[in-house]
Amino acid sequence: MKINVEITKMALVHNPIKIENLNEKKLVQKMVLRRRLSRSSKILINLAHECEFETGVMIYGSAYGEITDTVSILQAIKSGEAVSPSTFQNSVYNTAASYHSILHGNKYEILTLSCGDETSYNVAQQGALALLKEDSVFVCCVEALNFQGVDNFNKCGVELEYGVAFVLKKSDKTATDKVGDAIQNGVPASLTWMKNLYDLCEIRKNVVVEIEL
Amino acid sequence: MNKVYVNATSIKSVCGNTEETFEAIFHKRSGLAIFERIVPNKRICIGKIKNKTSFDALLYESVNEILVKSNLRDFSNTLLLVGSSVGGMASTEEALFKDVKYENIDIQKHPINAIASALNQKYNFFANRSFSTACTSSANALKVAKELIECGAYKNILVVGADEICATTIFGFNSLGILSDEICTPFKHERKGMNVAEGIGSLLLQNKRYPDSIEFTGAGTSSDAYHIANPDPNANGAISAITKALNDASVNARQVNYINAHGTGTQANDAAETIAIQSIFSNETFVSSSKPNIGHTLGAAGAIEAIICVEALKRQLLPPQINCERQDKTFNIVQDAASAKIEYALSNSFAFGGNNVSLVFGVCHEN
Repeated sequence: MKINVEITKMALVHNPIKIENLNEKKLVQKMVLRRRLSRSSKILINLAHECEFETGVMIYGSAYGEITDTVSILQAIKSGEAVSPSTFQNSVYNTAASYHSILHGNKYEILTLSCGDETSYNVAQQGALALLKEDSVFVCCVEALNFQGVDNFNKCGVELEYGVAFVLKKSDKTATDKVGDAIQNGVPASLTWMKNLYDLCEIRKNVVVEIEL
Repeated sequence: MNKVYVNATSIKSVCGNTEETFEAIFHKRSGLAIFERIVPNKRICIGKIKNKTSFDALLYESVNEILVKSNLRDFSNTLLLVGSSVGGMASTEEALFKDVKYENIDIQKHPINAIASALNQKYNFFANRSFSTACTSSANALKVAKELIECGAYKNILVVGADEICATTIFGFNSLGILSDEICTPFKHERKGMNVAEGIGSLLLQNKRYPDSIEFTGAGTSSDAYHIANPDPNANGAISAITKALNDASVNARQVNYINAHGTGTQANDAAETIAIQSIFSNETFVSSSKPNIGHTLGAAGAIEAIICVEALKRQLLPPQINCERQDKTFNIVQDAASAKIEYALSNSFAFGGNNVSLVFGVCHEN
């Protein structure tokens, strides 16, 4: 079953090491909440703001989730230190999406996927499924990989912070565009499909793509 | 819209395989055990599956069991949906704790989709997706499976909820001060916390009905938008998820005869879930938590506890709760396994981030 989808908003942020200005002081004015945010959460909140999304169905994806907090927990256990409760609370894969919901009081369905290299395509599939019942859906994928020891794994020069987001809407128009499968230097494999969609939308206006559920 | 049927199930838990787990649940036995040396200077009660060769071997056993019980020859036309909160974390810990060298970690075996990848390599599914919303992971996977079959996108979907116990979850929940040193006592005044455990629950969902099918009639989700780890004390999110599930199933609260509660045994969860259940259901609806038997299997809990609801409907037998003799007089906790007319059963799952999922299952009627 296929759904035709058009993109009404989109946003992209990335940096080889650390994204400089995520505007979190303006976007998250409560300091007590801002101080708890993981890097993924800050990236997601920034992308959602750029897409003018506050409440509604959100489908979020990340292949490695909150890996910085995961590494902190593992290091604490290995060295016999106490695990920080707030680090543990922040270590689940749905942390970023949850903080966004707390920030904006979003009580709609929020789903988090983690599907390796297929993550961003699977998130889009899930977004398309949601469009059977919703007028629009916010889909977003983030990788925040700037953790101690990342050099042992990052042999291909993937940028350590990367996020891409769209607001999708169901379309009655014929799908005229296909998202390429080109692998791009520096883009985490999990985000490749969405980055290719983003690039397509940069070149053409009113992109409509067909997504198989 | 297609109807959705549960046509085969499998459990691997601290109580054993599928039948052994049902026996333990209906006869009020627990597979949880006390460990003195995992957390320094602290006794904890958790659920580790005994005599397992590997977690992957258990996964394969579970999926094999589904294949044997089903009408499928293979999984080439089946979508695999996996729900897990930690994925391959245990594999990472094993490598890292051995010699503290990051390069010994197999990064492909670390993430959530490591489970789906291992299963796909062995069984060659049509496609696969993995969900990770902490303790609602496999409940969310079930909801998605239901929607995909209803709209006609798939005919066969295997949902696997799986979480292997690991140091991260044990020490993490210990840091929150909610790990109990004895078998948990959900909804009891003197509750001491939860028992983290490992487990696997697999359900084959199909659009075709067979003589022993149970219908998957409703699913509802919501977000608390309240706190990253604590539930909304007014239970607005839980109430919303339950209400949506009942509406999706087109049933009213009086038609639900049994609720398998999330029932972790923590003060915060039990208090919120009590409010949610009391605000929607009357005292005629029976409630129990299976966590004193099998522990809190985190991302697997939604799938395993859905299977317990399915089995209750098949047997027309209410699953009792261990340690419920002096429960809060809040609702009707099942004291002992008892035959009853069970038309619909509801399973609750709540998670970090305020993620709430409720699922409704029902006996199949003629039409």
